[in-house]
Amino acid sequence: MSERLRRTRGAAAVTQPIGYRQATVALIAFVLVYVSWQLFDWIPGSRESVGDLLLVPVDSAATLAAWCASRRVARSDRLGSFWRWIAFALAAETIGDAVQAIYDVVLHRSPYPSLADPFYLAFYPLLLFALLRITVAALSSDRRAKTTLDAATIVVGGGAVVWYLVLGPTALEGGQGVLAMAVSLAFPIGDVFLLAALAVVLLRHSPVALRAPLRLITIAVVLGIVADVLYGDGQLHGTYTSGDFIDTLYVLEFSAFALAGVRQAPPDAEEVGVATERSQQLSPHASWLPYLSVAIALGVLLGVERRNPFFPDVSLVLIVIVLAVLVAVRQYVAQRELLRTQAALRHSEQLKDEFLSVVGHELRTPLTSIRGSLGLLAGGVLGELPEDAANMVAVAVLNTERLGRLVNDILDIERMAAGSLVLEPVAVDASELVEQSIQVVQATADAAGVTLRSDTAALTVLADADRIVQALVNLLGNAVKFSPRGAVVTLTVSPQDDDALFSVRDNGRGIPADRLEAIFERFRQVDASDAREKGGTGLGLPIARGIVEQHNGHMWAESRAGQGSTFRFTLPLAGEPRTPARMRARPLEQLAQV
Amino acid sequence: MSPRVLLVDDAEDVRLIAQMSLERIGGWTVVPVASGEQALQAATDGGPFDAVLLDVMMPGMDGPSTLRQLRARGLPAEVKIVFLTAKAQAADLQRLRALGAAGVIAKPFDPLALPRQLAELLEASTDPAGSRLPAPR
Repeated sequence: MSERLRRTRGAAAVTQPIGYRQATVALIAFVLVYVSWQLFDWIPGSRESVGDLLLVPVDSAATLAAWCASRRVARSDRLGSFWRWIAFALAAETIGDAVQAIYDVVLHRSPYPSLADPFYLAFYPLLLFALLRITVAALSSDRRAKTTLDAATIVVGGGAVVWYLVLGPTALEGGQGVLAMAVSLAFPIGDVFLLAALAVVLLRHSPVALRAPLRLITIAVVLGIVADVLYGDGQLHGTYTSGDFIDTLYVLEFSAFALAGVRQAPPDAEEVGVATERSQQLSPHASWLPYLSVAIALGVLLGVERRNPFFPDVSLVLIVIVLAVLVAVRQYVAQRELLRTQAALRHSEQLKDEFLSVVGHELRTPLTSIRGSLGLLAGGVLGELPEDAANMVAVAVLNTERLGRLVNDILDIERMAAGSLVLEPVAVDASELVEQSIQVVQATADAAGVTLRSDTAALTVLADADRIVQALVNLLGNAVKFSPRGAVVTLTVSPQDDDALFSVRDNGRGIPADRLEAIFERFRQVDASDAREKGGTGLGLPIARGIVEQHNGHMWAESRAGQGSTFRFTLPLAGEPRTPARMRARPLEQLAQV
Repeated sequence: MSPRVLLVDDAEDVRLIAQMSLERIGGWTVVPVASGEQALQAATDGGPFDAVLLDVMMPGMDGPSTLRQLRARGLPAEVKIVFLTAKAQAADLQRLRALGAAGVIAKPFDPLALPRQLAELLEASTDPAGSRLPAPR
C-alpha cells in the first residue's frame, strides 16, 4: 500500500499535480491499512516495526506535496516561501521518523531521548517560521501590537493549560534524567508556540488561494499537538511504544499536511499583488478568539485545580491577572486604532468634498465663458444674426444651460454618495416651501401653457428649505414637462400620521407600472429620448429622492398609463424627536438602491 | 453720467463678457481689473464707484479678502459689493452673504440677465432715497 502511495505521490512531482480526491482516497486507504495492522497485527510480531516504518512514507508524501505546492505558487513570494519552509519542517520530521525506525527495526532498542529527537524538535521552529512568513508583512504599529498581544494571550492561556496538565506534574514528579525531562518539556512548549502562531494566522485574512490548505494545516497542527501531549506523557511514564495509538495520530497529522500540499492551487494573478494588503486586515473573529483562549484556559484550570495538589490558588490568580492585563491592553490598542481609522475616514471624506467643490468650479469656469459669449450673440447685443445663425446659437445656448444643470446635478449626486451633503433642517411652514418652488417653476409652466395649483394644509415640517425646494422644483418641473398644453399640475400637502405628505399630480402620459421604481435610478428616464427632447439631466428624480430620504422621508410614484402620474413624498413634522439636528447623507450603498 | 462698477475677475473671458453685458445692456461704465490687488489700487485711484462685482476664486487675494481690504481701506458702505462665483453650494453662498456682500451671482450667468440681476441685488440692499443706480428692467 505504501508502494502505491509513493507512486501516486511521485506523480505530483510533474507539473500536473495529482487530484485532491485521488490523494484523499489513497491516504484514507493508507490510514485504514495502518490502523488495522496496529489492531490485528497481521504478521505476528511486526506491529511495532510496521508502525514505525509506515510513518516514513506518509512523512515523505507530505514533504513532497509541500515542495510541489511551493513550486506551484512560486509567483507569489510569500506563499512560495511559506510552502518551502513547511517542506523543510516536514523533511525534518521525515528524517526523525526514519532514524526512529532504524532504532526500532534495525537496532531493536528505543533510547529516550534519541538521535531522532533533534529532528523532531527542528520541526517546530521550521513550521513556526513558515506560519510567521505568511503573517508578518509590514504591519502598522497598532496591528503589530494587537498581533503580539493576541499571541501573548494565547501563549499564556495555552501555556497555563499545558503547565497544569502536563509540565507541572512532570516537573514535580521527577524520576527522569534531566535531558529526558528537557526534551519532553520541549515538545509541549513547541506546541504552545505553534498554536499561538496558527491562531495569529487564522485571525488574519489569508490569501484566498491559501484558505482551503490552511484549514487542513490547522487540522494537522491540532492533531500533532494532541499527539505530542500524549507522546510526552507516554515517554515520561514509559508507557509509549512504537505503533501505539499515538502513532496513528501522527499518521493522520502528516496525511493532513500531504492533503494540504495537494490542495494548494496556484494563486490568481491579482492575488499575488493584493495579498499583502489584505493580510493586514484582521478578521472580525480576531476580537473574540483571544478571549476564548482565556476562557478555555480558566475553565481547564478550574477543572484541574480541585484535584491538583501541586499548585496553590495563588498561581491561578496570577495567571488570571496576567491574562486580564493582556486583554485590557488589547482593548486599548483596538480602541485607539478605531479612533485613528475614523479620523482618517473623516479626512478622506473632507478631501472628496473639496475635490468635488474644485471640480464644480473648474467645470463652471469654461461654461461661464461659453454661456456668456453665446448669450451675447443670441441676444443680438453684438448685432443681429441671420436667422439660421440665430437658430444655431439658440441651440448652443440651450445645450450649454443643460450642461450647466448636468454639472450641478452630478455634483449633487456625488455629494450624496460621498455622504458629504450636509443638511441643516429647521422648522419651516409647508406653505412656504410650496410657494418658493412654484415661484421657481412658474415661468416654465407659463411658457408650456400649464397651470400650477396648490393646496397646502397648515403644517410645519423639519426641512432644509433650499434642498426640499430643489426636490419640489424637480418634481414640478417634470410634471410640467410631461403635461400637454392647457393641463393642470397640482401640488398638495396633507397630514399623514406623523408626516406631511407632499403630492405632485399631473395629467400627462403616465408611467408604465414596471417603470415606477426604475425612474428613480440615475439616467433612467421613462423614454430614452426624453433626455434629448425635454432637456432633463436624468438625475432630477434620484436627487429628489436622495434629498427626501436624507430627511428621513420616503418618495415614490403612482401612475396609471394615460391618466397621469402622482409623485409623493413624506417629511417628518417639526417637533418629532426621531430627527437628529443635523442629518448626513446616507452612504453610497443605500443611495444605489434608489 | 452712467453709474460705475468695478469688475474684478482673473478670467479675461469673464471680464470681457460681463463688461459687454453691463455696458451695452445695462448702461453701466465698467472698470475691469484682473486681481484683488489691482482692485484695491483702482478703488483708490479710479473711483468713485457705485458697485463692485467681485470674483471669489482668484489667485493671490481671493474675493473675500479683497472685500475685507476694500472696506478696511475706506470703501464707503453705500458702495455695494456683489460676488460672482462658480461655487454653487448653498453653504458657500451663505458664507459669502455673511461677509457683508449685497448678494451673490452664480456662474455661469446669462449675460442678457446680468445687468438686471445686479440692479435687483443692489436695489434690494440700498436705501431707495438718493440712489443713482439704474432701476431694474
